[in-house]
Amino acid sequence: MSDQAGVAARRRPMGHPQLVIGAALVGLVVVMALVSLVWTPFDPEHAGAERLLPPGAEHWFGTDRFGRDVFSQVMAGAQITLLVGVVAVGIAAVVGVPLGVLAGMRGGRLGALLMRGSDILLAFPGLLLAIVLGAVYGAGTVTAMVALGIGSIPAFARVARSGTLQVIRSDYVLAARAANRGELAIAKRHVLPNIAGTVLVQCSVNFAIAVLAEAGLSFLGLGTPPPTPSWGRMLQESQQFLGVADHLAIVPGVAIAVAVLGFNLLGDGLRDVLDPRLSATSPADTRTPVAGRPAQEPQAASPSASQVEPAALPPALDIRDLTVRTDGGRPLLADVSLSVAAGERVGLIGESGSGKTMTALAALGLLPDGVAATGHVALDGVPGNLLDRGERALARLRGEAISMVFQEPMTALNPLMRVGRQVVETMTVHGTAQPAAASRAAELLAEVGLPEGAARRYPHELSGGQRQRVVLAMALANDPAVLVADEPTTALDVTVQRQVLDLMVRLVEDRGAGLLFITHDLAVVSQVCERVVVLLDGVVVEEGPVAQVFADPRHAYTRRLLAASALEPRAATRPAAVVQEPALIRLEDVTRTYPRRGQTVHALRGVSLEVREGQRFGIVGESGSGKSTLLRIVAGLDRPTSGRVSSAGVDLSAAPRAGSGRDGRSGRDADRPTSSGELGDLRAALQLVFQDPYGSLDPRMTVGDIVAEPLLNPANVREGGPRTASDRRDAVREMLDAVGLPLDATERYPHQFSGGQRQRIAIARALVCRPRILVADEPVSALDVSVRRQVLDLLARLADEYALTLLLVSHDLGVVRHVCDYVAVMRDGRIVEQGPTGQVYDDPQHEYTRRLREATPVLTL
Amino acid sequence: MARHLASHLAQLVATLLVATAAIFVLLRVLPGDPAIVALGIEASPEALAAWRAEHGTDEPLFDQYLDWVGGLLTGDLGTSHVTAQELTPLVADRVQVTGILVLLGMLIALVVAIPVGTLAAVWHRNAGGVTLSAVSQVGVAVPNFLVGVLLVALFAVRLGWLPSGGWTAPADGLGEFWRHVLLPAVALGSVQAAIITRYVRSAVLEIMREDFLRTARAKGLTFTGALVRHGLRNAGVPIVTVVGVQIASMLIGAVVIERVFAVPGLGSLLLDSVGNRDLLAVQSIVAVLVVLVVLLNFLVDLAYTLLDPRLRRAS
Repeated sequence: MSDQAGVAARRRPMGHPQLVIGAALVGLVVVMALVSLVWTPFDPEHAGAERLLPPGAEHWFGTDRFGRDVFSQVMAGAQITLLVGVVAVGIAAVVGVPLGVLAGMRGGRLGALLMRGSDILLAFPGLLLAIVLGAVYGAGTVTAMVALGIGSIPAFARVARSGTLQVIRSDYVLAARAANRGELAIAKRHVLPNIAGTVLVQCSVNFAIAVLAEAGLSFLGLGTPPPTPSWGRMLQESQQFLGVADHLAIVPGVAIAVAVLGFNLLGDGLRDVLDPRLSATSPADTRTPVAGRPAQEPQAASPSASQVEPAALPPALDIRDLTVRTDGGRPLLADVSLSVAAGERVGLIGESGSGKTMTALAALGLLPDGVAATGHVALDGVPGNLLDRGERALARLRGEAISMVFQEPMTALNPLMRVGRQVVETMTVHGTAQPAAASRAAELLAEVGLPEGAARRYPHELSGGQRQRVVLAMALANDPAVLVADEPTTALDVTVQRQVLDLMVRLVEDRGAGLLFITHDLAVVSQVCERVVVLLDGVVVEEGPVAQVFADPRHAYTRRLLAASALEPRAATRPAAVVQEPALIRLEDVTRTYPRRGQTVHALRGVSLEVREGQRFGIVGESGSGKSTLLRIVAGLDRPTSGRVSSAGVDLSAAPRAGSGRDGRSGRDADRPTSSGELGDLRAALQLVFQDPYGSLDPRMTVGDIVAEPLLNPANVREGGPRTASDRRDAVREMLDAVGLPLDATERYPHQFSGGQRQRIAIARALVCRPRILVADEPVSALDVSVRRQVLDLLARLADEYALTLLLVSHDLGVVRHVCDYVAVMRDGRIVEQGPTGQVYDDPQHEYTRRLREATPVLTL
Repeated sequence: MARHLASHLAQLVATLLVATAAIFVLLRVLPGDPAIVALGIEASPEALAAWRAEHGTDEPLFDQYLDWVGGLLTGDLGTSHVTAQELTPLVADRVQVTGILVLLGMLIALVVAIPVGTLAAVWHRNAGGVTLSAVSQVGVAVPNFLVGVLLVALFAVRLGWLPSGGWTAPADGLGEFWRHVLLPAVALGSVQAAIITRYVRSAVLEIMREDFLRTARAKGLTFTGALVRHGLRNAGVPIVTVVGVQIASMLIGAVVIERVFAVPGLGSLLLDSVGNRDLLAVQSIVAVLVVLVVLLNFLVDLAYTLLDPRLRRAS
């Protein structure tokens, strides 16, 4: 696999010159120290030679004021340097890391107290502490080591704590908790291996700090006492002979610098090697490279737009033979051609990695570093090829003739600037006078439907939908001829998506602008666009009017995409029978509140529901509806504030608050799952599948270990279930086979699998203990359309095969309708409507359900 | 905002209380009777008692602590056991010297680090950026006292342009002041420049990957324009933190540079007091340094809140 080869290259140390040079310099110091234990050219403490000799053949680095050999002293000085470094870093790590891990895992008051305590040490930098301790206990090597060690504790505690927090907030730790693993096991198996890298980097960096500080102390006469050679003292003694014997200063100075540089480079190199952004998890690396043009089907529509389009006018945007390659020559786009006429709305569809965004970025000259485009990009009324323009000439067109709306509204705006000013800037950059721009910005913000006063807001004070409206106002401020919108509503809730899409279409129509609309969602395209271009692995495989392409797709890939997109409703089989079954999950008037920034958040405001044995129960709602909180409570990962909950026969109701001490607990503390003991039965009976297949698998464990983890707690294993290592291996294989993964997957790591495959691994892990209930939290929302369907169908099949009760949470009504026979619609912490899926969908009683249904894009063929 | 400030202030007070208590325990309680430390074990019981009465060390420890902290609050640092000097004017004078040195050093560091670090980030893919980055990496590894020693060797010993050490206060002649302050400030600042260059570089690199920078370019700013108008202020937030932390570390690190250049700063006073076994003076000087460090950390937190509107809402 080429991906793996790439990963291997990045993991190979030779790709990291810093690591290699750093290791070499550190190695040099270590070798000097070790060799000096048994041999030095001269006795470093014996004054045998002529004084102040310059460097020469006999004394390589000369002699000092007593006639001692400088080279021998430098060699021996390495011992003290390393000793102080090792002990100081050792003290800091041994105290700081457990402190940080504990603070991270326990959170709450204890965690805050631990960190506050370690922060107070920040007031005593190592050097100051060494001087103080030296004043009391006498200066010396031991004092220096201890002081520098104590001074570095906060650094380690902080690194360990933030690493721990990151790990324990991950879905894979949640999965481990759901599998009833104890906190100690989680710390050992998940936390420590995952923070080991950053701790190692910190060791290296602090080693350098310790070397510098020790040299400084010795320089002050507070370090290692004479006659033991020490670099810092050598430097200090050299001061009297400046101008006479400069080598006495330079030689130990270089030695100190080499050691510090070595440890710093080693730290930086390690950080690069261990940086998750550089490993295979980043999308840029998992992207399939263009292998070449896929074989065209005989009757496929020609990818050349000019034949399809009765182009009388020149198109507003014309892209011809656009090829984008990485610096390494790997093609990301191959000969992509498409055009957008004035007033036309063209959809560009494809799955992740198909090159949609690259196409847009190339057209605007915004390609990231390390990739370059060839071909032609032309804008109507602008002479020449945009790809030939320099940055300054391109910038004059961007925002003026062609503009863009991005996918992620949360990060697209400058967080430090009021949004009004950001809109104004779009116009002033292109020459509009400030006052005119300011009044126009106010109009624009009103036009995109933002409330008065929004201009004075900072981005973080606006919701995602509002931010996207701001971006839209910016993009349309100068009435561009072409608007490129890259998944503009993917990050938004369904009802908000609908509003933003309607707004965008209206604004584009009003201005007669062309729209290039990039999306993975075929249903959205069918509603927004007139023409569609289908991209697969960087190549245009089909294009034409939406109605024609969707009704009569020519290319096999388009057909596959269409088939996967249309999720038909689940045939109503058993709802009537199921009602007779006992309730497996029961919630009565459940509320959940938690404090956030001094306010009380009501996540659940009185929810009641019953899930019956064998039922496939769907929960639909938008962000903030409380669906995830509900799910965590059902899974025993969170406690309700009030109300009764039972899940698989286990009572999960609100625990009586024990004394006043618990009342003031912080939000994080309250989020903590209840203790594992009483939940053993539940954990064996109920398992979870999470949304993000990238975050729910521990990147440092093999797939075999991941799937087997729930079996490691004997309480999870049914009677007659796998209890020995070899039984566990068999069970894992059986499960992998059931979810459609190859058996050799057990030895591989999560990053070697695609998103869909990872979700299969997560399902295998959830089912390996043969639970009665499977809870799935947005299991397909991070997946591509074609994979989404496969995973949903796999879930449905396994639910039948293993006689599972399924509780599925989704923001997508279509997904729930495809899988579930019963649905509850949630909004603002309440269930507004529930009933058999077909009934709720076809005849919604609540106004919100109706709105949700109308807003859900439907693929109309 | 007010609530935020209040909680930070409360933390500040708590930290100062714990820190001064720690200093008191370390320097007053653990070393044993300061009278014996001052007069030696052969001193007569009468002499010891007289000394204790004179310096108030015969009172209960907790009272002594309160006395001392009360003194710190009112600006009375007490009297040196050894030189019988009033510490407050002495320390005030020395703080001024060290303060000038540190601030000037930081100014030099920033003037170099901000442009160099930004360029190193912008050019990170070509030879220029790699070179700048490598030079700063080497600079970080050089101890500031080595730079000091080498500067003396070159400008004082070889060229004879500047004095090798000593100090003249600005009030006693600006020309002489500059001649004396230049080398130590450069020695202190150059290594800081290298350190801060690395932070600037990584902050700017981080910012260059941000979506909002791409948005800024999409609305018609050039890459450079977007970086200057939108990037640098955002990069400024982490850089301010680093500057605060580094000023704190320079306050302590100046001890060594003051030794190299025989500058009569707070560090020299501290070392002299340590040498004289003048633990009461050490205790007060350390307290002053710790208070300065804690205050700096507090100001950094505050600056952070002012620079980033996302944190202002915290109440």
